[in-house]
Amino acid sequence: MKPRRRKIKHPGDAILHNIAVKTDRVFAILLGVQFVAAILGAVFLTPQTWEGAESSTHIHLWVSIAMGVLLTGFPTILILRNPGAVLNRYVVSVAQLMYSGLFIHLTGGRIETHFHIFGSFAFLAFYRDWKVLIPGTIVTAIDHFARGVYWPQSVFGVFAPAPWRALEHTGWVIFENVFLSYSCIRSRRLVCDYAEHQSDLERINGLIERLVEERTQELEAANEALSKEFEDRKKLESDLLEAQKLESIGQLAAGIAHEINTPAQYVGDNTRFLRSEFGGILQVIEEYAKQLDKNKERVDWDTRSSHVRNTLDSVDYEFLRTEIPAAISQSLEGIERITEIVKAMKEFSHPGTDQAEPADLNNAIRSTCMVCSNRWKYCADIEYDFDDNLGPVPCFLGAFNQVILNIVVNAADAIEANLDTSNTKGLIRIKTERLKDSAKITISDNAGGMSESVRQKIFDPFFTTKEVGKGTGQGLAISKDVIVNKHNGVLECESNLGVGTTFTIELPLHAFSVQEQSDQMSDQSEAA
Amino acid sequence: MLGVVVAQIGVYAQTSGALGLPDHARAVGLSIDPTKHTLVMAVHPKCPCTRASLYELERIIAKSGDGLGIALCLYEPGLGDEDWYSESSGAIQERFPGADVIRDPDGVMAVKLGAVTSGSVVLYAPDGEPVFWGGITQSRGHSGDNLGSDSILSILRGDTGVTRSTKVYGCPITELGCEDPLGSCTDEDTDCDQRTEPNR
Repeated sequence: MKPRRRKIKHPGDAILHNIAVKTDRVFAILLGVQFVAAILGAVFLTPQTWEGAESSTHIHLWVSIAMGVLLTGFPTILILRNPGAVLNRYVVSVAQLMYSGLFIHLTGGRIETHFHIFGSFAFLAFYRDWKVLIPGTIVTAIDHFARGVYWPQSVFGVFAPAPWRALEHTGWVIFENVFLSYSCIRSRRLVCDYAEHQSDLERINGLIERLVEERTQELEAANEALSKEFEDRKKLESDLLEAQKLESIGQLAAGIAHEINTPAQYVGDNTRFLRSEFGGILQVIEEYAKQLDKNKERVDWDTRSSHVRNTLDSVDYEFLRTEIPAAISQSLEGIERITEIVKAMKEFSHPGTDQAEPADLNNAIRSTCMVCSNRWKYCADIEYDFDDNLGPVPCFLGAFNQVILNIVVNAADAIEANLDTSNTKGLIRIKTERLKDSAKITISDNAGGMSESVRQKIFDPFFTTKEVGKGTGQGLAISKDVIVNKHNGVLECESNLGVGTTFTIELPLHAFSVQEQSDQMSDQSEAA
Repeated sequence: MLGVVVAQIGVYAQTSGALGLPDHARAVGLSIDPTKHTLVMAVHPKCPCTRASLYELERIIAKSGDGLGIALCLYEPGLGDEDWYSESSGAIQERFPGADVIRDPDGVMAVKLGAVTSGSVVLYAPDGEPVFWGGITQSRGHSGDNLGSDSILSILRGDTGVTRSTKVYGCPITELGCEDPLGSCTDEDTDCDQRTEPNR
């Protein structure tokens, strides 16, 4: 036994059934309205028929009620029981066109009422089923032919229509129905095409959704990796900054050691001098003590004075009296110098904080310059022009110190290179000033400047004009990153070839750094 | 059942009313213009079918121009029933300006006209002789081309060999019978006027 073939449902069937259900409902309402309209028409147009002074209810009213019950009731019951069923639309087609006949009769065969026929077919075309037009056409044809023979006036408006008149009327109905049928077929095809496309679209949508899901997962993974990379990069940048600081400290170590060594040396020399000369002082003191001893044999004043004077001469008291205080003062100065250097080192080596904190930039700049003084003091002088009203400026102090160090050391290196030809000490001018919303630091030198092509590259990573081993090319790149990204500030360089270079730093007084803002924003979004 | 209903309405619409032979205009009591034809219609003011007859009358007037006098004989039951006349005469007069609107208590004049069915018309020649009588619709309450109107217009044009009488469709005006030359009256219409020729 052959397996029964299952009919594959077209995706458009559901839409067409839905259309049929909706059209059924529309017709159920329309038939109801026509029922009421027929009764009202009969009531208002032909309420009563008269015979002299006697009247009775006009037959039109009874006919309207009877036909209304049949033409509206039967199709409505079918629609309510099984909406969208094929039978419904054929019954509706018959009923609707019979209503056309009823209305034509009720209005005395008015030609205008014939438009009801054409309107009815147009409504029936809502089913998008050309076959539904057939029962209505048959009803209209029968109505016209039958009444054309037995009662021509009621349908044609003429008392003796030509035999072809019914044919002509039916022909016009068929004329309309040809177009409506074409429209139904085309519309049905469009619905089917639409349904197929919709089905394809849903399939594609499903595919896309799956792809999107996969891509989303990939993106999430990539985002996670990117976030990790970003964190790593941040850490790397931080490490790089720290490394550069350490590198600077390393490079400056010899100079700092020298700076500390010089005062330490003369503190040592002076201390040794004091130790060696302390014996002479003790000798003088002991001589005075001996001369003042009552138990000692009585000696005249001249003799005692002579002993003392001999002792003072032997220890070269005049020399000690002037040199010892000088040695002490010098030693204290040396110790102070060492203290200052250590303090500057300490300030420079500030580990920095996670958040910008108000700092005294004048002091920070001075400390940084002191730390690296060994790099510039032999070739240049530094001239400070600090704004006493600068006040505390929010910044990452450790990073800021590094920027100042980089610029000052670069200026000193440039002056030193220029010294080979001029033999004249250069000048580094550092100026601070408070603007309306920012603190401005200007560091200028008279090292002869640089060409425009060099100036354009100085902030590029690994770009350096220094000889191999002296510069890494990272200093100004890091400085730019620190000022622009970390402080949301400005770092600019102007250079006049043959004259000198000026670096300008501007730090906002009330703004967080871009990085800090982005961190805060990401924190907020994570919290949200 | 639907067929029965349709048949009922068909029978109703196609059943013609009674029609008698009209008297001479003088005998009826009409004063007509001796220079032109006069068309007299018997009207039952409440008959819905008569609307179609009045519409056809308008068409005849429109086609005939000034060469036709119009008189409308408005039926009213009993003597002095003001309501029927007053309710309808104004509208009729407004619809047919220049027409004579004649009050017809108990349909006495309608009987003389032989127009005992609402919508019946009688066309009088200028000398008062009836030259056409009958209806100007082809069924009850249905306007449109019809033999009556065509006949009247042909007579007015002076054509010969024209139908002189047609069936009439409308509400009966009076129970007074008539002889129906076209066979509209039934055998029970014993009170029919047995005239075969109009009274001179």
